[in-house]
Amino acid sequence: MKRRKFLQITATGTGGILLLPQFLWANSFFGELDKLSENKLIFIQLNGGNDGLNTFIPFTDPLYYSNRPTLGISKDKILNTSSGMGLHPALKDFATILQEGNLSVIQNVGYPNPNRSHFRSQEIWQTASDSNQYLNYGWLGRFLDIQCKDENLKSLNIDHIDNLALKAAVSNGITVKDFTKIKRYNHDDNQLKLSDNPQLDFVRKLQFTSLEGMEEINKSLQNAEKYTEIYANNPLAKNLEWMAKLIKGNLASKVYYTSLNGFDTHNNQLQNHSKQLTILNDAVFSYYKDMKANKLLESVTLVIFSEFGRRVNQNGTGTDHGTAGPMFIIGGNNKGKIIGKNPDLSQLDQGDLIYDIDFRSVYATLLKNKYDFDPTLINIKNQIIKDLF
Amino acid sequence: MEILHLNALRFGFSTKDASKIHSLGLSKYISNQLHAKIDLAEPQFIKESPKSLADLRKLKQSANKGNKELEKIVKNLLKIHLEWKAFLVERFFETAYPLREKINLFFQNHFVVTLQSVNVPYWIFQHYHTIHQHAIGNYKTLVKEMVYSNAMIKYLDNQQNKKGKINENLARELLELFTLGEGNYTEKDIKNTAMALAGLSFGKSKGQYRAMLMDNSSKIVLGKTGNFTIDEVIDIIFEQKNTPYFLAEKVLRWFFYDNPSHELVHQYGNLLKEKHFELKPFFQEMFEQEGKNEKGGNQIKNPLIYFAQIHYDLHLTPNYKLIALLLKNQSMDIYDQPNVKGWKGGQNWLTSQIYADRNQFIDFVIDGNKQFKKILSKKLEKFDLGTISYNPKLKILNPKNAESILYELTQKMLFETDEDMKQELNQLLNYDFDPTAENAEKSILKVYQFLAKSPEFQII
Repeated sequence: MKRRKFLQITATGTGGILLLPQFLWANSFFGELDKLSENKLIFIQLNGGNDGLNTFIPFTDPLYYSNRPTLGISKDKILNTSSGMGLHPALKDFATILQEGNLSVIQNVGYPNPNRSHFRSQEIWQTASDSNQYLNYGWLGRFLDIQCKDENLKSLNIDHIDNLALKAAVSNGITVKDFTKIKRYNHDDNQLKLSDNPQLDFVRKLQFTSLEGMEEINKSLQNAEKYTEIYANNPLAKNLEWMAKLIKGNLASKVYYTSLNGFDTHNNQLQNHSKQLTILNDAVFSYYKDMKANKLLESVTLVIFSEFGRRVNQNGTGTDHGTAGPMFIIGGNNKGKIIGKNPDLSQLDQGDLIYDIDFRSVYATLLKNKYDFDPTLINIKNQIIKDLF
Repeated sequence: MEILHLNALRFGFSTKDASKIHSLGLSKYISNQLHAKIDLAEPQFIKESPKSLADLRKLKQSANKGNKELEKIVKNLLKIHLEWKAFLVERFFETAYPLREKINLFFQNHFVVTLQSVNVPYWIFQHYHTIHQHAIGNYKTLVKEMVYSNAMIKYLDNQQNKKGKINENLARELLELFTLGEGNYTEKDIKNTAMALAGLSFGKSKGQYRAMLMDNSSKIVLGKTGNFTIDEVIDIIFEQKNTPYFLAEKVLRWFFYDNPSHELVHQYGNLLKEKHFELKPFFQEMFEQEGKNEKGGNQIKNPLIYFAQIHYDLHLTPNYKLIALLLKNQSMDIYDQPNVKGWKGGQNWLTSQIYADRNQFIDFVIDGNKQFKKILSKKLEKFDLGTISYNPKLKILNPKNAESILYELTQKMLFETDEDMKQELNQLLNYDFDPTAENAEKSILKVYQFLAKSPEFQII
């Protein structure tokens, strides 16, 4: 009885819309009338500190190989080599995107006085603070508080935990753990069994429907039902697929966020890193094809970053926490350039790279270029990057 | 969850008494709670309120027609209602004997009367006072007292029950909800019980029979024939097979399990019968026995425990009237149950809306959402509730590192922590988290917030 009731609750809001001819909702022909053409940002946070040097590789620098005697990626495997840099072999489809002019790499991104703690460095990236400054709200949350007045659901985070970057004083975002389950809750009227504990199952099911913004999400999922792009089979791909579905289904949220764990490669780096980069590659390429096919690549900007890079000198079979690293931007009409200087392995600070571009410059550029938003309003005073968009 | 915390939640309203249970041992703790002499003095606002329906009528008539005096009087009465709710919430939060208050509240929800329908706060106070006096005495005596409660008579309209014009309300609930349970009596039994109740109406401190309105004809109740008084009828009811099992099941539901097994109901029904309905030894044995069960996850947390636990954990200064309103919002309106059956408990405690409201509350306490603040301020103003200022502080006994902090919090808050949850927590508080960092306290509060919003926290 109860269960039936909450299923009804989640079903509300899908009415009306479905009565309209489907093409109205899918066609970017009408794009200007709806939210489809509005700029959107998607962030993928690589948790653990991605080894930038083994991701976008300075293969012509002999210091790279001398610092990485067993972890260095051999030159013949490196992809898309040009001006001294190239991609890890696992990123084969990033190479394609780069060739198609839709990927920009921003090199040596970091911040002054870097903190090598995951926890603290993530906090700095998420709040866009100085390294000795503590802020209560996330940089995207502060932006959304000023920029968005009408949308019910300002941001969507697909992750197990809330993300500080989206934390706002006013704007409500939503964190969803598992869309597959939501979908099943909404359509299956059978008694779904998640655990041996009926009370826990009951509350878990409620958890999904208790989320604010669920109505908008369901609406968008309904709108997007006819899209059937095939994505790679990994959790990040699933998350990106859901985001893409919601964007195609006309969800008004401007900011989307998700993360991928497993980049803290202290041990067995060669294998582990390659595995994570493969997941990233496959997921992002599925997403890329989808966006391209549906003519959304220009309006949706995908940003990939990590809280820090790793120590230049390898340590055993892995690497220790470092500082600066590359950021990747896909879509959003970026210029498809390699931005910034190649990493300088001869000038290190305590064995770590010295950053060249402040991450807040990237943030500032995204806000200014995509929303014509003045980043100083949220206290980001760094320079705009000219060659990005 | 550590069993000490689990038991503190089972026998109280928060984890406050976990250390007391630890130092005394479970048996001694329960026994101390059950043997304590606890004051329940008439609060000032009750003293100043009307003592009967007649008083109430007089008060209303005293208002000059045409002006706003009547409105003022009515408003004032409603204020007393809220004061009473807040008075009880304060007892639940502050008492050194939470188990006693929890037993009282159990019986209040068993012998439901509501402020809204009784409308004489003094009678409501008497109702609670009577429960308080007998809740660890004899159950049969308590049932008899409840039938004579002015509040009960009013709530179930027994003042209208007269010879020749029988009203069955009280009789029906006596059999269905107080003692036997559905299916263990006939409509005829109800009718004849109602005849024994005819003429029982309001009295000064408790109900009184009006000789003129009594029905002195012979009655047949549950197979027995005679000109029974209601006390004699209740004696007969207590000879029936199902009476002890009916209560045992409800007690198990209130303190331990949303779905107690038949075996357990049988076991404790037998115990109650063995003890001749003496509640103290019955409670002592059941609580000691079931308090050994280390497995949680059997009961959806009611809103009262939800709020008490968070207030205690985060050292929030309670605004009891506001909490009473929040409880109402969570469908646990104190002394104003939706109907005579009382709060059903279990899965009825949660809907997606209630869950969302719980999450909004905890978000507000920790993050201070501006919109919610506006909503709350309006409420505070409208009901003249003073102000609130939440300054959450979380004491961690062993703040050595992320692992020790997460361990302590999950042991205190969640009945179980599965692998997914562990991973999520590790993501939230990385292993290299520095507990001495400037904003460490905030980060730990975020963990609390995350845990408080989890499905596991909604369950005891």
